[in-house]
Amino acid sequence: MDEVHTTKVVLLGRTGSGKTSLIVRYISSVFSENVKPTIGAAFSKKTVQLIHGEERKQVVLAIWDTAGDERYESMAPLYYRNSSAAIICFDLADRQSYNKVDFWVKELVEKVEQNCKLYICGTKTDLLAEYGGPLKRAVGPTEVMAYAKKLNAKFVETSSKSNYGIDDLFKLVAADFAGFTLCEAPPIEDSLRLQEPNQTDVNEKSSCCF
Amino acid sequence: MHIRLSSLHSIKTSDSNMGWKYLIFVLQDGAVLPALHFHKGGSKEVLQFLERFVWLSISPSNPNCLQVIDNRNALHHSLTQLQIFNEAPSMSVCTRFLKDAYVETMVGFSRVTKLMWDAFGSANINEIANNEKKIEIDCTPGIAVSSYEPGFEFVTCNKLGDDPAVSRLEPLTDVEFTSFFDSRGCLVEIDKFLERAFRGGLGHGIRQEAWKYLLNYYSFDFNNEMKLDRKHQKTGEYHSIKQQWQLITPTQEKNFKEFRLRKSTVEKDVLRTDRTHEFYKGEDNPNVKKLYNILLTYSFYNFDLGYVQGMSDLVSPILFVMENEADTFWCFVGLMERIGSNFDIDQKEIQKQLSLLYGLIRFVDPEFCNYLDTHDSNNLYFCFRWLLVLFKREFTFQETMLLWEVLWSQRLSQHFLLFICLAIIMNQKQVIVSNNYGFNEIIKHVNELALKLNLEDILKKAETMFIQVKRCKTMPSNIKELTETPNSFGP
Repeated sequence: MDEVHTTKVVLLGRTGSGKTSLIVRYISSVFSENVKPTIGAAFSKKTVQLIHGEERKQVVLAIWDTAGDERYESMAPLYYRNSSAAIICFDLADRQSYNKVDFWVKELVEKVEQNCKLYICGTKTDLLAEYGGPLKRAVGPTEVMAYAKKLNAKFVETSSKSNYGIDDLFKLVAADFAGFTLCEAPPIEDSLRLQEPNQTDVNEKSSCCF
Repeated sequence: MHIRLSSLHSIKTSDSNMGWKYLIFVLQDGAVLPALHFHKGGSKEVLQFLERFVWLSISPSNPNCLQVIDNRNALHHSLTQLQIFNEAPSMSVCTRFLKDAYVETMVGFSRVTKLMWDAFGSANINEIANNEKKIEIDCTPGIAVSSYEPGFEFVTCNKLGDDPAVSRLEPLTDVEFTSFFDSRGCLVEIDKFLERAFRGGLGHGIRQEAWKYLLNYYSFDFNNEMKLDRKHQKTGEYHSIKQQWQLITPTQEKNFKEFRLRKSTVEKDVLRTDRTHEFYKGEDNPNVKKLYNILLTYSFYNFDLGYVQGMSDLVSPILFVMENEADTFWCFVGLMERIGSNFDIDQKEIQKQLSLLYGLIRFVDPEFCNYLDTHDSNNLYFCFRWLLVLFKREFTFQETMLLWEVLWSQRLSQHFLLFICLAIIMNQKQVIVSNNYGFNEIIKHVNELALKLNLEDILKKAETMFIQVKRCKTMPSNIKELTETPNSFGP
């Protein structure tokens, strides 16, 4: 029988960094331009199936969405307590948004007792010129990667609008939690391959897949 | 039934030859409370718990009488340990009991028996619901004992009595509204106006004028001339505050981080506030720009508070009604005079309201309150959004306007909002309990109620519960305050 584990994941980040959209895309597979600012917090759940050879595991992700406004930061501990993973979001085209990442990293490192894995998530790739969007990156990927490496955090890039990197991000969170090693690289280093319309590299992936 | 531990004189117990135990509480003033019968045991545990707070010693003259020696130190100790909003996932029985000691009141012994039931019984709540059998105690109207679990009994107090009949009306029409004014344009029929606003809301055509009264932009005694003066003066004032931020040069802005952050937050939020509503739809919608101007101007009018998320939700319907920036701004200022402290960074006001709501739930349904206690939800954070943006996210735009009129009329109480919360919570109780929802699921469930609630039913229920609570003869002072009707329409 499959082993079932539940893990708590919290999304943090400056207002407008796309936390709610990321979750809505992951849970409901839709994107809306009209997602309202989060007031209070929201909770959702999704089960991820992990298959590795004969071994099967189910991980239930209990996902907390939080308000980005600094005024409500005092409530954040209520939602990040006992989290085993935190996805800290920032808008790739907004420097203010990136500047907030370090605040959350420090808060979690300081306040969360157990080992909380950190994921730095650059959102809204669809807005970037390199993906055909109108804006330029507010922060270079090398800077973020260096920062993430220093923290032993993982860095991923996503777009809720074009549904890029989202499933991979949550699968990564689930796999890390369950102690599964992914042979698929995280989305950021894998972007070219993921964009190929036909996945011909079946053999390569067969050793470890979801 | 409430007993102050400090007012307890002694406890009489049944003779050991009797088939079951009972406890009779005798108060300092000589009052003797109705006997609590423990047909299936549990009285010993009640006494054991009480002994944490008071010394009980067997009377030398009567072995069936326990004398109470108040232990002030124990009580004081419990006071310092109080945390109304305990963030620990589960409280120990002892902590919960200490909390009770703090309020120094036991709202019915249901809590004591329930506490022990929680501590020792921990049966599935579904089973309990099925097993519930109510047995009326003789000669004690208003107290019912229900058997939940062998050895423990559930005493339910504060039966709210019959539902009083409440009726709601159609919205106030412009013809009626006009009849409330005298020939000089003063709103003289204040009571009638507020009563109608409370009971039916306002027709859309009169909102632009009427909301100015409800939000203290106009005084009821303003005649037509004074209203024009006020509008003129306040429009000027608005524009001068607005100019303050408009005149900030790009260099100044570059050197003013706080302003840049505030500006970008407002910008991000107006772009996602009610954008599906006709009034705010489409690209380059001038009303979105107005919303932005009003919010940024407010953050200059009230520097300390600034802009906080949630404010855009409150301004949006006001702008829809007023249409012009200056009027909207001053109506919003009026609203913030009342509820602005909800947005304070220390969250004290919101906490205070949540704690009042907690007291209200405890008063009307201690059983459910215990459920919330034991399911990590007694902080009531699932009501945070309701309180902060006055249910704006839970109802449609139209319904929200009506609900706000009901609140702003301050007709029954300035705390009617809490009764609306109570009504919704009581409606959802069954779902929450039968699914055994905890902190996570309750928030999820409550968030998902958005746009699925029936406003008129809820308003009726809220009023019904308000009347039921108000007619209770004895209640804690904090509950009593909630039911007090203000003498006059206040700011």
